[in-house]
Amino acid sequence: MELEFPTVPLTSAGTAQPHQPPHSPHPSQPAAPPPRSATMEAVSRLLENRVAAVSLVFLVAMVIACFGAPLFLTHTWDAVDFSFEARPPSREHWFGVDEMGRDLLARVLYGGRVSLSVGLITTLASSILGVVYGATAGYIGGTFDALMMRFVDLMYSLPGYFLILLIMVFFNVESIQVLFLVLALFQWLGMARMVRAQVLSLREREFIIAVRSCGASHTRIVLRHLIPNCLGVVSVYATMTVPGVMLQEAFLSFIGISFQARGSDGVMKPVASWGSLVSEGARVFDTSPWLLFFPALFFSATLLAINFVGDGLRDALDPNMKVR
Amino acid sequence: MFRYTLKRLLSAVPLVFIVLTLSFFLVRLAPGSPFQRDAELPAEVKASLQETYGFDKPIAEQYVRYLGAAVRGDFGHSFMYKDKSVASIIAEALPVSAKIGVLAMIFATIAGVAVGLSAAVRQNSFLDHFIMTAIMAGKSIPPMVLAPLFVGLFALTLHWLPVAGWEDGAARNLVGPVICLGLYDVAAIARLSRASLLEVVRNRYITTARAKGLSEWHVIMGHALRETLCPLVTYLGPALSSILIGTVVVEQVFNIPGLGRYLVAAATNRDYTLTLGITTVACLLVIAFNVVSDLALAVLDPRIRLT
Repeated sequence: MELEFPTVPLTSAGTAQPHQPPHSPHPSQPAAPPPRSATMEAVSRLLENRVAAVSLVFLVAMVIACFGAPLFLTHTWDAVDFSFEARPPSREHWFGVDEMGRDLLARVLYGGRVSLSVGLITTLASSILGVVYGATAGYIGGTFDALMMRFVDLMYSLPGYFLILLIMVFFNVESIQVLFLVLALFQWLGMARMVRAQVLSLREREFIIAVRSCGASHTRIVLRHLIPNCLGVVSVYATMTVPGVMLQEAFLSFIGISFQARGSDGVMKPVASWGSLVSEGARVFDTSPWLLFFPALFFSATLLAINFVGDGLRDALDPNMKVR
Repeated sequence: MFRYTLKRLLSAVPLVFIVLTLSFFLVRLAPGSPFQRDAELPAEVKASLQETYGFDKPIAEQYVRYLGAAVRGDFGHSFMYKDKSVASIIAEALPVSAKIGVLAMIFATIAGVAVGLSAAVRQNSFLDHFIMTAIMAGKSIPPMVLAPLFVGLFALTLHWLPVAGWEDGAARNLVGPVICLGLYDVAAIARLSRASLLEVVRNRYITTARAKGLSEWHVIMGHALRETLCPLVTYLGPALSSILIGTVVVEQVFNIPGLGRYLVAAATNRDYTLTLGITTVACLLVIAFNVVSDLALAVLDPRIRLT
């Protein structure tokens, strides 16, 4: 049986706050607008923030452009011609051509696919891992919790950037799926800590006691009541994770670790990401600056937009957390 | 304080052990042998290499030998630079990286605090909004984008600074790397110190200081500053780590013979001993930075020593 607790929205703004956020409708006030769910409240607050809204639109456009690239591009990312000369932007090639004769616009958009999927998939994987781990530790509590969190502390103090580099070099990793996995393995710790702290405070609250008294199983309490109440903070934290992951991939590309993908002719060849395009561009910057400029612009603009959305999301979901 | 220092130092020992163990087993688990080349090595050469590196011994013995050697700072010979040991390369390159790193840290702290405080004292003014946006941009422009653009502007176009090079750390060669390296942390530190000062000025003792009729400058500099800086100390460890990672990129772009440039060369050429040596040193540095930042915090905040 599902119990309704009108004062404790199950998908609330995440943190356990005794005070209602200033914008939220108060059901007892007669003049108040019809009550909306806390999620709707948060979304409308996010969209009221002009910078965040524009950034969000920009990001959606970027994702569509990168993943829809084959639908409208006339050039492929790996078609080579044998002039062996980089050419500046022209009507034929909007972003110019690199020294292998490859169209830079196509390379930037396909590179965006790699960078964006690294950011999104790694974040998704690490968030799931972190939420499950943190919620388990927080809900069980006691010695078990202490042990689980000791492990997190330990992993946290390991220098992830360099250990990942070591793994990538020594295992000669060329598949991007392995990269997702390796990055995620070092990324879930912060999420686990935060979710645990949330669950620790939430599990003592009345609505959980009420659910428990109704005879809900532990799995049900965690999955249906505790985790949904954490989703606000989880989404903020996850958004803030994406730029870091993308930078990490760019760092690895910069070091010279490349990934393989099947080209348009069916042959496996190194695939570009924004990070590798930027580092390639940096090498020939004095002779053909456009090879650096366009990838750098796309990369930084995307990072900036994600950062703005993250900030906006934080302000929208938790007005009390807003930096004064 | 002595007890806390001892405790904190001891707690780093297992981490060092774990890093060394992980790196050993990663290398051993990796497919293929580091000596695998396109051309098959002659049997005698192979045998002598095996003997030098002890790959014919049982794995437990190799492990103990490796730990012993690592503690002595002996990582064997570089594959690429055949006449040099990994340890001698590190000894040569570390001071170079340290010089840029320390300067970048100083630049980031001073500039970051100054920018953060000036935003905070005029909260919600145009200047504040401008600085907050600039901070966001600073966080979104990684050194690998910033450094080449910096070279393009100040060296190739304006000819104010040399394009690249080291010349034993001449001042004009330092400007570019230090700024490119420090800018990310300027943004982070500015953000932290702004938030921190806004928190501190809500304290009653600040109200008292203002009520005494002190100028705003004296209130901030004489009373609020010390407490404002406390939270920054916790960022010391992460900041040093991010600078360490940044040096890899910046040294490459500015062609500076530091650890980072050797790391890139070693990783791209699959020079296993050198990669292992430099990453191990980098890992140990990160662990050391965290200990130092914890100790610094304990000096500033006596409550921490009791836990």
